Amino acid sequence: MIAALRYEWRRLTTLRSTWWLTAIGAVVTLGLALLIALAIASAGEVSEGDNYQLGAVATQGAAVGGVPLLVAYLFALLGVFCFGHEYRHGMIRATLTAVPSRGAVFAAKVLVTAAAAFLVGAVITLLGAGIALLVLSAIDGEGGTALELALGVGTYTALFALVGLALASLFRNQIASLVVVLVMPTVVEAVIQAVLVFPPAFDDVQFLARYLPFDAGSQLYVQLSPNDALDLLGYDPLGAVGGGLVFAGFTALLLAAAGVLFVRRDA
Amino acid sequence: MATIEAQALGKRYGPKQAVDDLSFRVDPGSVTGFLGPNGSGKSTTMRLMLGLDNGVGSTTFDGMPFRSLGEPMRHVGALLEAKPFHPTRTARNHLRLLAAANGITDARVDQVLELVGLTAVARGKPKKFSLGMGQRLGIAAALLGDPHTLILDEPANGLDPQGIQWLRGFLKDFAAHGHSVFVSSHLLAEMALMADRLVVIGRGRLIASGPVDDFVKTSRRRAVVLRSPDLTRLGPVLAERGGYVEGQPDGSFVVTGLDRDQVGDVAYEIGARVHELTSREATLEQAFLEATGVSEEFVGGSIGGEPGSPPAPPGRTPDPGDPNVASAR
Repeated sequence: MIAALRYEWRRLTTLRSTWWLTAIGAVVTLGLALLIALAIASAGEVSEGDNYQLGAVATQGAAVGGVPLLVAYLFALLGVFCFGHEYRHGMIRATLTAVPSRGAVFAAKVLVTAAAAFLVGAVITLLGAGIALLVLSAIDGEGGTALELALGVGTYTALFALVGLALASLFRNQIASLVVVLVMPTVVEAVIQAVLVFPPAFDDVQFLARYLPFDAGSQLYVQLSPNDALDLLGYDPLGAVGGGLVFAGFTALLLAAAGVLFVRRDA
Repeated sequence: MATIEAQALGKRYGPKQAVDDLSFRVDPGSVTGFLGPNGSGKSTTMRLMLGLDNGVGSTTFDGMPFRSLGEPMRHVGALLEAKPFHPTRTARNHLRLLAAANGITDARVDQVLELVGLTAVARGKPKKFSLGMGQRLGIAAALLGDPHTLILDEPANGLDPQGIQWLRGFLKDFAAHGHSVFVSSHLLAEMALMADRLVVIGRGRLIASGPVDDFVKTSRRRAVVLRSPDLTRLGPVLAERGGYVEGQPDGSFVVTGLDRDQVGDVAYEIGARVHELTSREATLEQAFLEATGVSEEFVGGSIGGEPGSPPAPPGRTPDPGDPNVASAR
């Protein structure tokens, strides 16, 4: 297992795309965080202890406005690449001759991808929160909230990356996996949610919308969202823990299927 | 020790039995060539041996299956296909990646890069590599752990003549140090120069295994060329002793079924004059075509052949005008 972890870590760190995506993620998110912070500051409407503003800056709007969480999408790409590259370039044969235990290879990929995604997601969010605290001096900085956001974003990013990893392992096709992992949360879930929540005819099954995995998972970091307005229609999303568990369960199912097939299929 | 033992390997893809009850042994100290027509299951067999494909049967390396080997690259080096690397990871980093899982130092990485002649492009992206350079990187990966056993699928593919010569010398030397080499190739002339022993398969089944010379001797093309003015007397006696005599356009006769000494002895017994008596050795290519002719999967049809008539299996058609028949292996 140690050998598999060493292999996976070096696999990740010797790819340029890892560094590019992480650098782009850091620069864009922190740049946006700074812009948002400056915009709020110039609007001059900073009220003391306003946590929504901290979240707005630290997650570039994702925590307050239904905007996609950029860092999670970037790591979904890295998750897809984790297995996508193996099959696209025939690397899987080289990998399994260097580390013959498939269980170890799969577990190492899951652990390294999840750890990297969690760390980068959490650190970027903490840095974003730092920018908010620096620029918006009126926020007195409730450290607990910044930490909660960082944990939520980190966890969501890690789970999102693992969904990408599992899909690429199941499909063995990078493009198909990328399409599914990007379209599922942004388009498919939004459509299903609209169908379930708006027409009164579906009121009986409306609660199912709470279990849409990506939307449920986003409750890990969302503090205020347009969906909150839907409670007028009787829609009541899950909380951070419940939503996180739904998303984690969804991810675990995908990983289990991918892991079983990875061990059984021909490389 | 570096013995490979394959036991009853089998692999089925849907209705097609790709590898069927295949058993063989590769002993240290020799280069064992792995021959078979296209699609006969060579690559599948190699993947089965390394546990990359799931099938039936078992392969052990000094008694251990590949999946049970700790730091496997220190025991078995493998080259399975052209270009099994990420196009933007440098050659050196590709090897460092494999090394990371097998406790191999960066110094050894640089050493094998030097050995295969890739030092100059070690920090270059392999997407610009030619097929031959990619193959060298694959060979470097196989040698990385200083293994006692090499499993190489078509390693000469894409190599220039210098590269092929280097590889041949290297593998022979490697085997001479008491190591095992199991190498497939479709280049029969190359295999004849490189291999000491052969495993020959057709349609996933074992056709022959043993020393190259023994395999070549199984060829029906191995014969005795005879010139004798007394053939009317000699012919019937040779036939009686199990020989089959066939006249050639140039007036000579080709005797199969008896060796040169036996034909000479018969001539002496009955007092027949003999003007020429030579052994004609078959080539590895001829022996291979004969042995696999019946089991070849994709037999090429002949242009202008009668419609509906099955194409003759290669190696079966007599070819008296073949200029290569007299050449020794």
